[in-house]
Amino acid sequence: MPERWTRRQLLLGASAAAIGASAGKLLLEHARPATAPGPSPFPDLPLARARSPVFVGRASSYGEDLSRVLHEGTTALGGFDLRGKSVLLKPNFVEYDPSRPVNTSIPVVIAAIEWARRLGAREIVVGEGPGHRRDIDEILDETSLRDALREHRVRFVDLNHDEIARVPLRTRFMGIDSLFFSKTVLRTDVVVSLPRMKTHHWTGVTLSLKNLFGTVPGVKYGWPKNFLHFHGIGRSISDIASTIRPGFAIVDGIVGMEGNGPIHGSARPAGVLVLGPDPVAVDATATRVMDLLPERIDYLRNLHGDLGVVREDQIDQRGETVASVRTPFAVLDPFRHLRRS
Amino acid sequence: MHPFLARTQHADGGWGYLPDTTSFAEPTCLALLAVPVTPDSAPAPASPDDAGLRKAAAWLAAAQLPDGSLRVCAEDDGGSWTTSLALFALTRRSLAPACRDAARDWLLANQAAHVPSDANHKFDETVRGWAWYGNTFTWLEPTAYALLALKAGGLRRHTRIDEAHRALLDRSIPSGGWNLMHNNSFGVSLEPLPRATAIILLALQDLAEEPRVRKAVQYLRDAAPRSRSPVARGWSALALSAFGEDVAPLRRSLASELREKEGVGENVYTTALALLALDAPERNPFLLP
Repeated sequence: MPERWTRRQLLLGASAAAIGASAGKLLLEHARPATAPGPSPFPDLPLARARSPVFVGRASSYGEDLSRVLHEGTTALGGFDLRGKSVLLKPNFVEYDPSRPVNTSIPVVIAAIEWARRLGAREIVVGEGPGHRRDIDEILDETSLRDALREHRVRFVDLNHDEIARVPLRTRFMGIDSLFFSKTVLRTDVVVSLPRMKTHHWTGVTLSLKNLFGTVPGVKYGWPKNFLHFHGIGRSISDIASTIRPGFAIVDGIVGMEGNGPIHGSARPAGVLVLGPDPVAVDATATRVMDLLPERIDYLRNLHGDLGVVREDQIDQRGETVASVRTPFAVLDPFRHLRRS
Repeated sequence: MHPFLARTQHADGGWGYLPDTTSFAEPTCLALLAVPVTPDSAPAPASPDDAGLRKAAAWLAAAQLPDGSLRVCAEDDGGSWTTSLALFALTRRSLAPACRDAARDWLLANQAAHVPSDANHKFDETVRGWAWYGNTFTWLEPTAYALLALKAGGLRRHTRIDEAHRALLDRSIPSGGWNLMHNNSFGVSLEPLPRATAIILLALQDLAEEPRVRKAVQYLRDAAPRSRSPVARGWSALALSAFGEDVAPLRRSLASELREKEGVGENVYTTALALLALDAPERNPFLLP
């Protein structure tokens, strides 16, 4: 069995048993061994075998040169190699409400397309399987995403109605051993998760990992993907993320959403893009920017040490410090335990 | 058969959502309904000479599992919401009777899970409909499909039908129409959606005098023409037509998007729906007998 598996080997070729047996060997591609384990404010979250870099870049408005922010961020992260690879950009387009920042902004999607092209991607596809609206045409047209993709000559794939394949899960938090996924997701070399920075009334926050619900086909599990809810949203996020293993995450926190997210919350400008090759570390950092405690989010805890790292002392912070951009996001009362103070 | 549907039917008899994707039950059902058999028959009998229809019916029958439910596609391994659509389409085409019987039995034996109402989602927890998949919540669209399928087969009085009626009416939005499951979430009144409202109205067309149904018709009459989605306008045309409303503007807008070679947006599902809507009210297979 190879020491390092490619996504295709993992998702299409490997048996459930082989995947389970190899789980301990699957470390972050961009990780290196921890050198200076320090005290953790949450000692029950163990020191992982990896460190991850995360970049936080300022962008006060969508009119700024966001491609430059992504380029500078990637350079600060030590680069990211997409040469010759197929890339699926997975934004979050769950609903349409022009009065609220529900979806990933179009300028961030465009900047990500330019970013992937600049990094040498062989093929770029934008794909989404909205959890609420079945009617992707409505979302594409109302948000003007269709026009933007046409202008940038990028194909869109409706992941809800794509061909599907059953895939063994790498973890068993849901208590089941496999799920169906979109074949476009399974065939692509690198999945880049592009969420909006939002609070969520069931999970506390929704960032690059929760965004992966959109890789599970609605045609199989419905709208919303209630089968996942039934097995626990945090547990579902954990199993999906550990199986899909996104290669990069870019969180659109220029204007986020606080309160009753992911749809009915209020706009909360944070003025940042948060990015990196470890989606767990990116989500943990974005959560800290929101002035919330990622160590208390169940799915981040589940994924710590496997898909990525949560502990602040294992994240190499690049760009802005969290303290310099921290923007408290209001959460619903059931999530008050996430507040830092 | 419209040239786009003729071109995109796969050798196995089914249709994919897109021309180059494998066969799925939902577009196959819609295409099966959209193939004109005789010009002016509402529930059109299948022509034994029509090989395309028979192949499509055979594909659906092959997608049926031993318990009577239908898979969404060949790769699927568990039955789900598409059982209702297949039952409906095959009933309207008078095809595959054994498949229909087993599908109906599965539908009547299959019910969504009981979920308690709570402060975040208030609804009548004593009434249930059907889920999308598995033993999960009642959702409105699969409940509407199940009602359509059972009613098309002549079943009008049944405890499951009565309960589903109550579930749909309970979850209607006070101003008119339906969202996906509830009419409220975390203290917010949800907005109606044209697509969901249209499909539910088709399922409740025999309750035309019910005030919540009439309000939904009013909502859809206003909202449908504003929708940019051909799917929403297609379902709306079928639903409004079933309630005797003028759907000429919706039909005109859909006709303007239909191309001989590309259908509507190179999408089989959308094209079949548009073709069905263009035929309404003269031939509307969703009009219950």
